Amino acid sequence: MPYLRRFWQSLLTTFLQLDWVPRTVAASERITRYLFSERHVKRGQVSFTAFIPPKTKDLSVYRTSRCSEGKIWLLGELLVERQRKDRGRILGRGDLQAAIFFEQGLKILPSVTPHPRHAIVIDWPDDKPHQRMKAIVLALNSSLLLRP
Amino acid sequence: MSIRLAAGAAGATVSWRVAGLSPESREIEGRLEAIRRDRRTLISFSWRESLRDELAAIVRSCANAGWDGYDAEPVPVESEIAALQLIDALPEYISVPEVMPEPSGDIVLEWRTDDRRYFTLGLSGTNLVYAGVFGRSCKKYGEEPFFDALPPTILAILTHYFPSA
Repeated sequence: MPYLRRFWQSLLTTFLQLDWVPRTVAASERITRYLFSERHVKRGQVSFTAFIPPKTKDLSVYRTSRCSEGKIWLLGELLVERQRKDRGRILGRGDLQAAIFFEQGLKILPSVTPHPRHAIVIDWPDDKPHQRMKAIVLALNSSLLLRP
Repeated sequence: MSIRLAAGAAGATVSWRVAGLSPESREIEGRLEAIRRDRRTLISFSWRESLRDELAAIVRSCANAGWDGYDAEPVPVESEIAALQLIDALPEYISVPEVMPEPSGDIVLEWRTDDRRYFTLGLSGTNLVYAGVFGRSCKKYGEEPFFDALPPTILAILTHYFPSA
């Protein structure tokens, strides 16, 4: 049975790759940040810490416009969750419009790997207060969806 | 000192204290104040204690790199010590914050209300780093030096936007 499951998952991953998204990110697009830590989910809301970029200042997100709910969770499971060494599960996701990122002076750069819908948020300021400010605005404008 | 009672709206009883001038009244008032002070200390002790417990839990659960599912750094001892200093410096008359770890390994205190008030405060080296949104358009952020007590700028924000319930 594990063989069948693995085969099915690799098949799904292959089919998921057959996807097309525009090269540039439109302001109206839905952007999804997958959440693994319970610390990122507080009182039914997304915490600002979910949007704080790592040291490399590239925040990993997915472009999920025109995706069904099932496909959004599948993208997370097969392309984000499986990348983790500790096999941690996705707890939920924070969805928001790309326009909110742009209003904060951030750019969303399509990164294609591991999937055409993957993108990174760049142009974060260097100073912490400014960075936190932007992450707070993103958190306030995002909706939390818990994994079914 | 005497307690006065009067009929309030819908039959409710309204009472207020009138301080007396006699030495006995002053002694009673002094003892009452001491009791009130003790109660405040006990309450603040309990929320400070629960914040310290939460902090300890965070340090345990975020001890390994990648604790956030991405590239987060482990929370170092320095961050824990800084957060403890910050918790001790909080005034008693504000609402209780949440303790949050950041991907950088820093610990931040967070206040958030349902009406879009969101404020974060952390200690980075000897500087307090703060950032917050208050309603639709008001934003405040910056850094202030920290010498064991919160600077007036931050105290004013906490008192104004996050008073204790």
